[in-house]
Parts: sequence; structure tokens; C-alpha cells
Amino acid sequence: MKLKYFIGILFVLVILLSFIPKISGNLTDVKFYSTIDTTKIIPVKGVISEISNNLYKFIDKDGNEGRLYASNITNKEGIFYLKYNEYENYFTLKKFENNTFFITFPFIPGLEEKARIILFHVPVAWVSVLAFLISMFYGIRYLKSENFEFDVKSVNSASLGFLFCILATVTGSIWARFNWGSFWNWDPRETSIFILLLIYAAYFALRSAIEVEEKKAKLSAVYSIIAFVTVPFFIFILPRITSGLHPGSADDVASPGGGPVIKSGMSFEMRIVFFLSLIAFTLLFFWIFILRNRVTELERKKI
Amino acid sequence: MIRLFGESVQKVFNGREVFNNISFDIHTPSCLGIIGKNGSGKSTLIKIIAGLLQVTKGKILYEIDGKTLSPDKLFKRIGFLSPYLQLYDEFTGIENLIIFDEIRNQKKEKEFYLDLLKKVELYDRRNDLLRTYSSGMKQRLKIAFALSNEPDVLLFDEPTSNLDDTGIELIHSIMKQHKERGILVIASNDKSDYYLFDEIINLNK
Amino acid sequence: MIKESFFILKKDYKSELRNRYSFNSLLLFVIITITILLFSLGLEDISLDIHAGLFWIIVFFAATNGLSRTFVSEEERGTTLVLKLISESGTIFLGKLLFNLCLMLLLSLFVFILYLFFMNGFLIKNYFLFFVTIIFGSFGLSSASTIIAAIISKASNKGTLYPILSFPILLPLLIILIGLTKSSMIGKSIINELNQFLLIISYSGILITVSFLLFDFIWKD
Repeated sequence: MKLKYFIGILFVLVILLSFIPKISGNLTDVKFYSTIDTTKIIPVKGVISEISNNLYKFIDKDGNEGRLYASNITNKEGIFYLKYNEYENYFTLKKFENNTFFITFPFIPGLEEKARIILFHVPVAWVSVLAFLISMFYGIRYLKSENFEFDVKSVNSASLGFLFCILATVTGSIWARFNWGSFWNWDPRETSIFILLLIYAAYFALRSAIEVEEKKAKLSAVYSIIAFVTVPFFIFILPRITSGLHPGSADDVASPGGGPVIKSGMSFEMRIVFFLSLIAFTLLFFWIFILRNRVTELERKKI
Repeated sequence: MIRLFGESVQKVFNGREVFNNISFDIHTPSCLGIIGKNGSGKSTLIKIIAGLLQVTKGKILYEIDGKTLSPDKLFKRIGFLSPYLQLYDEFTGIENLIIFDEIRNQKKEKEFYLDLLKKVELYDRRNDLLRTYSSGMKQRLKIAFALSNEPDVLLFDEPTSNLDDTGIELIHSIMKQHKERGILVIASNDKSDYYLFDEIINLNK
Repeated sequence: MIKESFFILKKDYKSELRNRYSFNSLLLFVIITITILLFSLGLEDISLDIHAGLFWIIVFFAATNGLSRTFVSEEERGTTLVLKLISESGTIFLGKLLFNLCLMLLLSLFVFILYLFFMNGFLIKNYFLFFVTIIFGSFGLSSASTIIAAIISKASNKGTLYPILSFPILLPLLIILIGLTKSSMIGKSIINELNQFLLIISYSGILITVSFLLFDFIWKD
């Protein structure tokens, strides 16, 4: 089967799997978050059976049991939006939704519905870093062999990396708007990705400032190595140790220093969709990369 | 006994081939001459032999008494002279020489430099800033620089440029003297240099 | 190699003394900038955050002027050939790095003195932390700048290219330095800030190591 059809199908699958499942925590989540934030209402998927008037026995998707107080219940099964009443030791129902899809995504504090964006934002960012790594790899190979094919691959990878980085910034920015109110907040991780964009923009500025082919390739290769050496610092270290809004920063309550992707804030099903998305974007990158290499090589040989 | 050996040397610059398939093999006491029209790549070739530029293809080897000389250590054993070599205008003649030897970690007694400057007839102007030198004087200081580390190999690009008759006599005697002890590489368009050449590379296509 | 690099430093220092290329323009730049700031602020008080930021802005942009000169002046005057004839590439890199380090230290101290004299509200409670910050800051800023200076000296359009390339790479250092300066102004102890210094050392250390290994490729034509 042709690669591009496969990638297309994969993307459709990922998009479907990202938007159809509903968010559902469990009763333990409800109890936990009621101590932190009394106004929070948490969706839980489960089944009820009547005990007495307006009082029900509730079993959630993970098998936890609890008592539910509610009036006006129509269905025995679905997504129940709950609050925990510690004094009376029961859960009160605030809202109800029918659920028909068998997968649910876990409740991630601070994100909830917007958690879906993890499935696009994070893979795109990871592929961007992968692209920059590949750019450095071919930069090193050029320095060793002075073969221009490697220079071509180094630039193409850097360009794609830059593109994916812009995508990551844009998806992140949309997320920021829904989560924290404004498109840009100078949160450490936002600042980091902005600096990363500047570093690779400078890469292209450098290339355009040199006319001699060998010099251009050599200096770009050196810079691609220096640039990537700073990347782990920007992507992995700095945002995790400083305090900020983004998940995984130093004052993230649920997953400090890690974030939901690294510290298992995701359920098994969600993880599968995440990896599908990661594979989809990675394949997309390699497909475009290989095509561009062929085109640039042909153009170069023509000259 | 020094040997300079080059095999199938090619240089491509910015997509254009400067020269290809250049080979040579000389040893003490010999002089390699590089001749060719303007723009044929004489300066490029001599820079490559001096280790200042890299080859695109081919190899160049120096052997001292049979042992290969590592390219990193080459600069300690050669003296290089060329019209585009610039020394430091803001230092005096003697300061230039001493500072260079300090950096090379080959500093000698002050007498050495005074004698050297006497040899190139710049003794009287040794404490004047290079800025005040005429082009002939700068050329003579460059000769002094080329000789300052008592090199085994002398590489001269257009050695007689900017020199008056006395200067030309001087440099010819230096080149003849040196040829006995080491090897010479000369790139020149001046036919009066040609009598020194033992092996010739002609870059005219 | 290290001994020889000190002689390169000595040469650059002597050169600077005779020419005063970098020295004068840096001096003038700092004086002009502080004058402009004084005029625009008048008698108004500004917060410590802003003071810390302004201090490093002045240092950084003055440095941008001076740090690239080490390589650019050699390239423009044509003296790189001589340097290649008298030393290995590693020696040159170390020598220029040392020069940039000294330049940064002197520059920071100079800005500090002027700033202290002329800006009101600039009060430092923990001088020890402040000066340690300046030392580490000079080390960090010069380490990244030197390799960038080497790269752009071989390109055209050197003037505008240097800030474009060096600014993103130096920005995290600047952020840390501004934070440390502010801490020194409010009197925090150096012990609380040890991990920040660790960050500076690791970032600069990695950059210097990689730069040293790569310099050969830049230097050799």
C-alpha cells in the first residue's frame, strides 16, 4: 500500500479517536479534587442501582463504590458529573450525559476536556525535536565527509523541524487561550519554544548570509550542532524546574517536574491513541523529508 | 632530510575546479617551482602545501628523516611568505616577530631577532610601527618572519614583489642558502626566479 | 596549548591598548545608554525587577558590540593567515575566549560602577552574591559568544548577523542572571541560589566543550 494513503488513514483514525471518547475520572479523583477545589465538578462513568428514595449505589468504571444522591435520574448508565459531599459521605449529581463509546479518557486536572490537545500538541513538539536531532546528525556527517548530500538533508530536516515547531507553538497557544485565558503568557515553556524558534530562524539567516557553498555547508553544520546541544536544555530541563502554568512545571500539583505524558497521567486507552498520533506525525515527517531530499538533490544535480 | 610529497591533488572552490591531478615529490636539497598565469591557482596551491587550505581530493605529506610530520605540527617547521600575508600594523617590527614566537612557544633571546632584522636590513626601523613601513620594508619584515623559526621548509609566493634590487639580491641569497639545508617551494611569475627550480608545476591549462 | 593561548590574550590586549577599537566604542555605548535611561526616568522610582533587567540589557548589548570583534577584526584586516601560521586552532579559540572573558568582566564592572553612581534605587543588599553573579555571568556570556563570533566572522553581513545568532543562545543565561541579580538586591543568601549557578556552569560548560571541538571546522578553510 502506498505510504501516503497509510498516513492519511492513520490521521483520520487519530482524529476520530481523539474527539469521540469522553472524559471520565473515577470516584477517587472526585474525592481527591474536592479537597483541593470545592467548586470542581468531575465526570465519572459508571452504573447506578437504587437503594432508596434519591439515594443510589454507584459503581464507577474502575470498580470503586460509593453512594450517590440525586433526583431526576433517567438512565442507569452513563457519564455522571459529580461533587463529593464529605460531611454526608455521598456524591451529588450535577449533570448527566449518555455515553456510547467504549473508550474514555482519564480526568487530568487543569485540562479536563482540553486534554485532547495533548494528542496533537505533544507529538508535534516531539517530532520537531526529532527533526532537529536529525539535522544535527547530518551536520556531523557533512563535517566528516564534506559530501553535499548530507548538507541537503541537514537543511531539509531543520526546515521541517522549524515547521513542526511552529505547529507546536500554535497548538500550544490555542490551548493557552482555552486554559489560561490569553494566547501568550511568557510561561517558561512558552518562552523556551519561542527561543527555539529564534535559534533555528538564525540558522536560516546564517545560511543566507554565506555565498560560498563549502563555507555555507560547513558553518551551517557547526551551527546545527551547537543549536541542538541547547535543545535538551530548553525542552527538557528549563521548563521543568521553573514554576509556571504549563503542565509539568515546578508547581504542577498533580505531576510536578514531569507532566501527564511522562508521569502516567494518561490511561491505557489514551496512551494508545497518543502513540498512534506520535507514529502518524513521525511518518508524516519522514515522508515529507524523503520527498524533499529527492527534489533538492535533483535540483542540485541539474545545476 | 626533508621530503615533500603530493599525489593527485585537486582543489574545487565554490563549484569551480581550480586544478586537478597535481603531483610532486622533492627532498633536500630541492626547490619546487609553481608557475602559471594570473588566476591559475598558484597561490591556492602553495597555501595548500603550507597547510593553510585543505585539498578537495588527493594528499600531501611531509617526511622528516623518514617520519611523517603531523599536519598539526607543520606550522612549527615552515616559513611562509606571500603578498597577502598581513602582519600587525599597530606593533613595531621587532614586536611583531617576538609576539609571533611567543605564541608559537619558540621564543628566543632578543639578540636573535636583532640579528634577523639586521639580515633583512630593517635594524634601524625595528622600533617603528609597521604602519609606517613602506611596502618594500613590509616585504622584508615578512621575510624575517618566515625565517624566524629557523624552518626546514620555506614557502614563498611571489618572493620578489615590492623589493628593490638590493632586496631581490637579498632574498635570492637567502633562498640559495636555504636550499642546502631544507626544501623550498616558490610560486612565481618572475623569470629571474626560475633558475632555482628543480621540479616545476605548471598550472597553465 | 594553554600557555600559548595566554600569549594570544596578551597580543589582543596589547592590540586593544594601542588601537582602542573595542574599548572606546563600548565605553561610549554604555555612557550613552545610561544617559538616555536617566533622561527618560527622571526622578521616578523603578522596581528592583526592572533595575536588574536594565543592568543586564546594557551589559548584553554593549557586549554584542565588543565580543564579535575578536574574530571580525582579524578577518577584516587579513591577519588570520598569520595566526594560522603560528598556532593550532585550539590555541586560537582558547585565547579569544580568554579575551572575551576579560572583556566581559571589565564591561560588567564598568556598567556596575556607572549604574551605581547614576541610577537611584539601585541598592544591593548582598554584594557577595552580586559579584559572584557577575563573574559567572561573564563566564557564561563569553563562552557562547566566542564560537558565534567565529562563525559570523566567515559570513558576510557580520554586523547584523551576530546579534541574531547569539541572542537566542544567550537568552536563558540572561534570564538566570537577571533573577540572580534581583536576589542579590533583595538580600537573598547565596546558598538558596546554588542550583542557578549550577545551571549556568552546566550550560556554559557544554557550550564551551562543543565549541572547542567544532572550532577546528570553522577555522580551517
